[in-house]
Amino acid sequence: MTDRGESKDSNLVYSGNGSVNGSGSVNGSGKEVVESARLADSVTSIAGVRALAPGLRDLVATATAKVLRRTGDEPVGVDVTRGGDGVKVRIDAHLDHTRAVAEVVDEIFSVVEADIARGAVEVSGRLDIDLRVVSRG
Amino acid sequence: MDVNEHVGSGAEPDQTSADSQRESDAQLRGVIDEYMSTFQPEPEDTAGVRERILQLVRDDLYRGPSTSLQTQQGHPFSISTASVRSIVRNAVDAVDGIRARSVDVEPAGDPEGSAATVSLTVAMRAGISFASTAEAIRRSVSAEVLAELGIPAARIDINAEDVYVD
Amino acid sequence: MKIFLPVKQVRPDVANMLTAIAVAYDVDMTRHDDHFDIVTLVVRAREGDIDAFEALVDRYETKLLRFCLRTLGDRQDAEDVVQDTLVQAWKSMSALTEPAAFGTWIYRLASNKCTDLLRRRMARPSDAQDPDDMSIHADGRASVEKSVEARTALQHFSDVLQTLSSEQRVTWVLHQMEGLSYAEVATTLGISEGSVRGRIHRARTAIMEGMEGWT
Repeated sequence: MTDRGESKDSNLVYSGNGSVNGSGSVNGSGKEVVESARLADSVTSIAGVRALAPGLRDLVATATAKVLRRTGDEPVGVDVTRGGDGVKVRIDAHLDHTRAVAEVVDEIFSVVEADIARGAVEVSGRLDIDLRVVSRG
Repeated sequence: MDVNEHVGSGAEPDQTSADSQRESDAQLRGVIDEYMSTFQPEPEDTAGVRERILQLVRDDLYRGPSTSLQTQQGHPFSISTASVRSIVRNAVDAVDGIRARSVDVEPAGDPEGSAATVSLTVAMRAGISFASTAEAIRRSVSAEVLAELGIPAARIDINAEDVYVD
Repeated sequence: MKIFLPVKQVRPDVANMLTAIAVAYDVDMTRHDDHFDIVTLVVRAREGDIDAFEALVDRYETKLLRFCLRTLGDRQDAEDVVQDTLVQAWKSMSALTEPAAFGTWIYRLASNKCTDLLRRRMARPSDAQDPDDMSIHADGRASVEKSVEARTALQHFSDVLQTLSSEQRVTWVLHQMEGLSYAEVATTLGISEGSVRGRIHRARTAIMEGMEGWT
């Protein structure tokens, strides 16, 4: 059993408060939109992840296409936003029954970690991964 | 035929009025029956309405309450409370003679959310011995929560509140 | 692990109410894979069990649609009311304190929506339904003469129904077409039995006067 807080990179701190809010409006910069799309690509390829947000089944596409599809109020499966003290990654996922929830959650975290490590998302300061499993079925 | 009973709010009809009402109803019966038969829902009507209802309900469910948990590796996440309850319900329903009713799952353990406390009420089939069945429910829920959620159930409270007959 | 095990029998008053409700709204218990009792379905649905809610929809949708069709005389309006009723039921099911009373409750929601819609219609005479738009079709097998006659009497009856107040119409349909007793109508609408009788008397009078010479 791994203790919480152990991580390879000292800059990565999971503060995930599990908060849920209904606001879908995100006015991200172009960079954050592209980063969101990259992470979305990675996360949807994980076994056990059925989709990323209600209605957006075709999120697995090119980064450019995803950028074009984004509007201010559209709920996006992955949202990268930057605040004063760091980066927040919000993920809303629909899972299926093929794997235990915790197993998929762990893999989502490690996939996001790996993307960050290879520079897909620029992180300075705190990293907050807010993952919500919207449904399972 | 002339219906001339006094109609007032809450007026109780006398016997003559009741008889004349029955007579007038009989005369109208043919028209009423025909009216009723013209308004039969078609299967495709109900199917369309049904689909729209369920989609609206699903959308509402996606915005419902969440439960905050944590994997054994320490990764925190929230999950729709409906999904968690569904896992427990399936485990309970799998026990012969038992139907899950109310299910409550609360984060527990240290750190909080690394385990779950389950409280549930059930209806049991008439004739079932609760004492022995409770053990089966406990085993089923414990195994299912661990297998499907990946988080251990630290405590399972069971309350039988009703009896049903198949 | 601790198990808390008080075992309770079915309370007699609950059993009586279950029987009473089953008489008033005799639901088809053969639909769906569950055969679950109404209380179980409602308790589960209000906690987010969409399968349980689907079972409730399956059991009540056709009856509700038929009731709304008869009350409103318009397919689109009826579908809208049924949809709104069941979605409202989903969202406010925690307000239902007695799960066994779901049938009565759902009819009350639908009745109130029908009443509101009828009131709105009557408040806008220019928007009143063109009787030709109403979906009443003569029996195609009848002779032309007979079908014209039949259509006229039926059509006239529909017109007469439209002259009733919204409360009278809803009350009368519940009693005369849905087959509810005065007591059951009173429970459904949340009014006194005396009020039910009054409305039905007035409705009967208006219908008899309107149909004079037609039957």
